[in-house]
Amino acid sequence: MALGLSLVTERTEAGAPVVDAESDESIAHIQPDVSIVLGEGPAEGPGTLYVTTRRLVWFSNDDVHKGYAVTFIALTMHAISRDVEAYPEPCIYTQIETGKEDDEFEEDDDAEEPLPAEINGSVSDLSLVEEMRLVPKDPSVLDHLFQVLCDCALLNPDAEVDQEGEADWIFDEDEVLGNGIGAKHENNNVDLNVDLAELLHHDPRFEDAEEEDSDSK
Amino acid sequence: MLFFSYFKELVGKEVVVELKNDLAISGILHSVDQYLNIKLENTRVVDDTKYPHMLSVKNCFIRGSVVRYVQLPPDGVDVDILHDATRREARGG
Repeated sequence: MALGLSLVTERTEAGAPVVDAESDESIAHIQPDVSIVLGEGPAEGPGTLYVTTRRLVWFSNDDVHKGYAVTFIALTMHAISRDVEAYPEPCIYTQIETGKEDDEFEEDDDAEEPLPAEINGSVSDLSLVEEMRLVPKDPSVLDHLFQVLCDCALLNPDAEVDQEGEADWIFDEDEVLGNGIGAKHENNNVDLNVDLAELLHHDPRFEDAEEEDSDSK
Repeated sequence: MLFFSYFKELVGKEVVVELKNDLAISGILHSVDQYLNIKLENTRVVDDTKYPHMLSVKNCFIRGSVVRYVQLPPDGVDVDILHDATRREARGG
């Protein structure tokens, strides 16, 4: 599924988002009377929040063509914000992975600007939105809403990451010398545990050969 | 499952989670799951210049895939036990 916030214009007759049953999407929770704040933009609303098992979808109550959605895979963090200095009303604060954060090769200041450009108070590029707040009219729903988001996030793990246990890991000298993982035991003609002093002074290979003929001395 | 088990031992301790987007959040580790999703309580942003709006968020849920580092309290780490456990884990134990 995609990263970043996207525009949703389609709704069912009941006003709910159209779910993708094939990817096991169903509506988990509906929260009416929620406003939404994208980045540094103004609060938009009133609207209704639909939490599905795959996405977070917000629909405007006034404009039937206005809706925003973000997949849980793209929701990197969500939290309850009650600090009035951060935002005047208690809300759910979220961060969104846009996939556009790799600015390593880009020195352009505009590219690093996390805030989408605003034209006439509306956000011009949703896919650049990195922060989003969900402001319920009734703040007492925040704890439950936070928990619902946690539960649905758990339903959306990332694809299986290659487990590192299969790579050859070296932990210390001990294992490198042949007593652990990655050591080859097949052609081990040398006994590594032999004392070095022994080898230097009493290596049997350097002893005089036993001679039966006495001419070479 | 090693780190899942390991982090479960740290529940209740103060940690700093650094995300891949450079945001660092400190808080009490509330819980962790098998995907290493992390829930923190009493969070504070370590350096508030990039994301000033986060300032004092109370509870937060962080997706495991965006965590870069988890900074552990020095007294919360027994290096020897961790060392042995990682060797066992790598051997497929």
